Amino acid sequence: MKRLVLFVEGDGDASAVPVLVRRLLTELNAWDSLFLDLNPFVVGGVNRLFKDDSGNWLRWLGAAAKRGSIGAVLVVLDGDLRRIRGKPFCAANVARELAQQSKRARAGDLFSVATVFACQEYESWLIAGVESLCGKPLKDGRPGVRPGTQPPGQNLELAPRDAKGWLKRVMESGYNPVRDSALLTEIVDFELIRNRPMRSFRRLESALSTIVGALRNQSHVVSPG
Amino acid sequence: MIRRFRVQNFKSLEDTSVDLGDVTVLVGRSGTGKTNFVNALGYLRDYLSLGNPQNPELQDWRRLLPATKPKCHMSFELEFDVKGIQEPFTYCVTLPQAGPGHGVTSESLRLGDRTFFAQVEGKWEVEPPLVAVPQPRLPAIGRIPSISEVVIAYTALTSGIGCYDFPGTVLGPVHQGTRQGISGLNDDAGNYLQTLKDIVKNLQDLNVRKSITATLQRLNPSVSAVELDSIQQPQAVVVGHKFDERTLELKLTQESGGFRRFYAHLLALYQLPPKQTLVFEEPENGIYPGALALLAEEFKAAPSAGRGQVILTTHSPRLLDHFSAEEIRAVVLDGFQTRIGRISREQQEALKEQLLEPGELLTVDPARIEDTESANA
Repeated sequence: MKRLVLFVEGDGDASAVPVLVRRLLTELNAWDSLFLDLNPFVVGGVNRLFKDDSGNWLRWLGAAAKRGSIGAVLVVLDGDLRRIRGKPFCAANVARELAQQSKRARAGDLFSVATVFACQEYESWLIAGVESLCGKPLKDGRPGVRPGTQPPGQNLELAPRDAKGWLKRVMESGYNPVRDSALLTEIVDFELIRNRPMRSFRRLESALSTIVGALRNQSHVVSPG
Repeated sequence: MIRRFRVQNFKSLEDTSVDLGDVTVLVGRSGTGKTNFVNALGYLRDYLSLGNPQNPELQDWRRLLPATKPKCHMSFELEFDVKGIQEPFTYCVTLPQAGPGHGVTSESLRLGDRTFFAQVEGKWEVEPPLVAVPQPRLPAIGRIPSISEVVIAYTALTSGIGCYDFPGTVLGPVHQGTRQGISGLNDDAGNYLQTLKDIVKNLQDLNVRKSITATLQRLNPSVSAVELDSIQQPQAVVVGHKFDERTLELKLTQESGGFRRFYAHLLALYQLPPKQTLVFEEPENGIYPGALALLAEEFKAAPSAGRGQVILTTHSPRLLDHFSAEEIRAVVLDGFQTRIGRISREQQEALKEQLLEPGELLTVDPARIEDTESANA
């Protein structure tokens, strides 16, 4: 059994992404090949990974590899940047660059690495499944999303820009990512998200499949390649 | 210096034993029990020296017991050594579930293999070697003045411990010091004039005041002197600021909150006579982040200079960056219980190989205890 370590952006993601990944791995029947490390690295955004010639990225990959039985690192970050390192932000290019850099920490050799950018924020995925959240109380008993709430537009990959702010407006008790994102992730219907043109969510599922496949074959990959 | 401190049934510390070093930094999320650990030490000190805790928050016995065990004994066990004595002391005391006003359930003091006294349920198991043996039931450690080792142990556990949690108003115009009864700088620095007077009047080591001023100069280069307004009956501390050839005198109460808070920490560290153990709660509060390196240097220098071991709690990555893996203890909540221990082995290795910076144990990869590795999903 190999360990899957998560790299996430902030403290809200640190509680929500493990819930999301656990649910997806259960759907993939992946528990025969890996276990999920419940202590994600909270990296604070992709800019911090690239800092000092990707020094942080390589250091933290090294620290993750110190955890026993490392099998893979899955990076899930927000893709709401306009520019990065002086260039327009392109999630695919940046993910590819991180994958390439990760090889310097022997990713692909000792363990797998996959990078996924939510488009725009982690909450964009919750919004894509918002009808499944409507009117349902949260696990702690507080009211959740107001009944009858509809997602804001057709292209949920691009709108709303301020996903956290949008959720704050439609939730009866407001939205605090650290407090609420994991609770919403527990109950959101993935089929609703899959039925919408959410390429970033499909990319997450594909990355997880790739990792699981590699672990089952006792090989290692970097994704995107 | 306290080498090990075991606490049973004090708030969230149902059974927690911590190895302490020259410098120990406790880190963990809010509500995990860092302050409970620090308060347990302060509580024991106050119980032994004053009979009651100074801290008003610790005066309600029922609220000191674990929420899950409203009726139980409370125990403390300390292993500590004192300079000049070869072997370590071990002191154990158990307070009855009825509260500290009903004496002790058990108590013992050992030095190496030698037991000075041991009492259980109001009877002596090992009687102190005295002609007039004190009555058991009450704590004996402070009632045996004719055995010097017992007096030394008592002093180390009472006036030898300073527990500092300076308020933002410390040393300021509205700061009212209230705590009394233990020699040295009070926990809230309310008697700071007397502490500085003791430093100023000490002719054995004139470097103490120079060291304090030099450190403050690194904090604020204009500082040229920090002195009492009167040696006989001091009413204020005056801070000299030198600009070109002119000196401006300001009262300490006119200085910024950050300066005063920094200075309060220096007074605790440099007080005379020095403490054996100095505890500081979140010393970073109110202090300019760029000055935290300077403060960390002072903390780290204190033990080797004979100014006491240092125990800190912190939420500051910038302060934590100055401490090593061996000095850091992770504090976590396991159910309702606080657990404290060395950080996980892989985090220790990551720090040694500079894959992690110490401050990242508060941000990127929160500190975990050595034997509680990542749980499986």
